Amino acid sequence: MTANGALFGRLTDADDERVELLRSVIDCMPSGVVVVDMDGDLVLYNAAARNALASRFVPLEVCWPDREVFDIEGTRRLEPSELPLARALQGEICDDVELTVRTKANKTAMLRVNARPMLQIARGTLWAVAVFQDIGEEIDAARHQRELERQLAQAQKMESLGQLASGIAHEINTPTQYISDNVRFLSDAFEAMARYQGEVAAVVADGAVEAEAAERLDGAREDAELEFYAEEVPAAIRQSLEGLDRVASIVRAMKEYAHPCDTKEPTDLDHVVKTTVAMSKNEYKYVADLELELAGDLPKVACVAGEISQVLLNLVVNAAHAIAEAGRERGVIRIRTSAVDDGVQLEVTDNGVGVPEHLSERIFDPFFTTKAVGKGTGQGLALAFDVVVRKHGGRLDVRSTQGEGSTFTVFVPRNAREAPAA
Amino acid sequence: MRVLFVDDEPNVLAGIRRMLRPRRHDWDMRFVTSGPEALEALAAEPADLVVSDIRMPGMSGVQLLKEVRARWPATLRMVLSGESDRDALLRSVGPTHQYLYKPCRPDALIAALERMDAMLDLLQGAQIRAFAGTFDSVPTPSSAYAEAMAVLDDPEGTPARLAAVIGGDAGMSTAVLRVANSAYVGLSTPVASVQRAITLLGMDMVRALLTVAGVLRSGSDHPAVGRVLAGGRDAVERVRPFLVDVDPEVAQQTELAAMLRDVGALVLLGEAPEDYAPLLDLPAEERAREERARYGASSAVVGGYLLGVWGLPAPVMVAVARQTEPPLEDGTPQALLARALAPREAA
Ligand SMILES: Nc1ncnc2c1ncn2[C@@H]1O[C@H](COP(=O)(O)OP(=O)(O)OP(=O)(O)O)[C@@H](O)[C@H]1O
Ligand SMILES: [Mg+2]
Repeated sequence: MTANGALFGRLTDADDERVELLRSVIDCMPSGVVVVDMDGDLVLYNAAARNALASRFVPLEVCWPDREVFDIEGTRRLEPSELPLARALQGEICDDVELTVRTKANKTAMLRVNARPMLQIARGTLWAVAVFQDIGEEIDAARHQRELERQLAQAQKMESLGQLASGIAHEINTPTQYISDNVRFLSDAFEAMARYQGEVAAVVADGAVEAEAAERLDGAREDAELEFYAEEVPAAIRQSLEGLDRVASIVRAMKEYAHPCDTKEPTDLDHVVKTTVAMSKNEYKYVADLELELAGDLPKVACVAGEISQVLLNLVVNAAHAIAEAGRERGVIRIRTSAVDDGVQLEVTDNGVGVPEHLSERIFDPFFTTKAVGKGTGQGLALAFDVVVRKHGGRLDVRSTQGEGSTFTVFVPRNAREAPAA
Repeated sequence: MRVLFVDDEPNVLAGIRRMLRPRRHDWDMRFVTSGPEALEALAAEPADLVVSDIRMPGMSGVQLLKEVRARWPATLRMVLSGESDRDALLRSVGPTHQYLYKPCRPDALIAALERMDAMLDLLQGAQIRAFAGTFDSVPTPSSAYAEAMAVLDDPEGTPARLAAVIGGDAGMSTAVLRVANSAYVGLSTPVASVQRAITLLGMDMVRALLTVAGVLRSGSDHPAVGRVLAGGRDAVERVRPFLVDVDPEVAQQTELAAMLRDVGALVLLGEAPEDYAPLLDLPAEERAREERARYGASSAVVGGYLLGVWGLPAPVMVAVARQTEPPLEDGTPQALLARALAPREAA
């Protein structure tokens, strides 16, 4: 270890005893201690730092930029000038900086670092000292706590959503019933009136009415724009009935969503796509158009329809966010289904911001999010992964070009088997 | 047909009243907004059919229909409910012949009413109708019931395995098919396959349904019930050779009709096993004659009536009701079944 050599080389011999004392004091500290000179070269480190160095990872990335150092979320690589010791060498006091260090062996450690400039008056130069603790466990515990809270919140949300949904369904279904009965009635009534009017017109045409009366009737007929109504009213009625069918199907989808049945049943994924899309319109309609390319003749796959619907919903919401973030014109979200070898494939493509290459694995981690607080919790893809891969023995992949868009592919095998627990 | 509509929302009643106006000469329709009012109206003049909402303040639709069943058993009972969850459905399974779900398309409501009307024509006679009106279910032998439950309890149990058990039993088959054909599932094509019904409902729902459907009841374990069911399975075997080149949907309906051909006899057996069992030994025609003399209708007609008011596919209902009559229209389940059953029974 040349570093200690350097230490002794630079200090005067006169203070051997004090050096020994200093070394044993800092070696007793549970925190890692590292001192660098103004060039960033290692001057001194203690036992805790050495242990860390020998055993799990190189803590010295705290000062050396040749290894990967990220912010504590692990999402953004820090610039060399942002590292605590570098900042301390610029005279800055850095307190409680939390960061993630990744070694070449792809091990990560989370550290909390305090760094201070150390004025070396005798040498007329500035050194810097950093003291750091491994806070991995602390963070794990906090995450675990957050996860528990989230699960609880989610369960409560689903429960109240379920109650809400059946209440709302009842409230919507009842008026829908009489609206459709009334529309049907109006349709019958209009037909009857049209028949009567046709009869009147025929009588007039036959010349069975005095000329003056016939003229009056013709005038009244034009004033009332009866031709227009004859054409438009049936269309208005037909479209109203279509709209009512749509309402009914949305309410039904809401019911399915709120009361997820949790057994795997042979399912037509085209149907799942249709109901999910009907339900999630709000999530994308302001930023994107949706294009469906449904196979139409998919083989059924064994799955829990409600869960796959949830996965699809998450993917659509992500796509809408990615498009909004790209901030261009209206985007396009395309959902495609197709039969493949031994199952069904479902692709969600967007032309949003895309996923940077180095994040393409991490986006599936729980809590990994690049979104602002309140907009994303980083749960969407983790949940999707859990459902597709673990519960259905399928696959979930992403292909993406940064700046151009992404395609998320869900594969559901025909005979879902639960993946063996990891 | 005299129909009484019950709903706490006057707009719903007004909508139905307007929509059904073209049928005012066929049907005598009354409209009331609560359970107690409905009972009053029925006391003043009975109805052939009551169509009720479920969720109403005071007396719920389920309570109302139970009361109707007890006091006017000949009256058919239909639900038109805005509640679509399975609990509401399960609660009303007992006293309800058919379950429609709001919003119900005008055409579907009219079709359901027409079906009920046709059933009233099929089974004439207030007495036998009142008798049939008290049946909520068809008896299932406890051994078959236990077998179905075992499949449901087995983590490896599949809809196919369950269908193999339920499909060989008339009571459980009708229970499952009734609900699968109700608007709860919201299908436009009727379901005649037990396996499809199970898949549509899901195994959990089937379990819940079998526990509330009341298929374990008086008569369940009478030896004659087992014999009749074996007769149904035998009829399925006999009809199969006639189904080789037949449209698959028709074939499915025909097999179902064969299995359910003696639903009427099962129900009569359930009520009075000792009285009815001896009739089973009579040749078909003689038995029908004796049934008509005793009850005012043959067990075939009673069975068809029940399948009809429970909303099973119409061709199945016709095939059961007219199983011993000459084939009507070629290629229908009725013709196929009548032909398959005829020679041996005549011989
Ligand atoms: N279609 C996409 N295009 C670009 N980036 C995406 C896309 N989908 C996901 N991502 C990236 O993956 C991250 C994780 O997504 P995930 O759905 O797990 O969480 P989230 O959307 O951030 O939050 P949540 O889904 O919990 O509201 C996102 O923050 C985003 O950076
Ligand atoms: Mg998301």
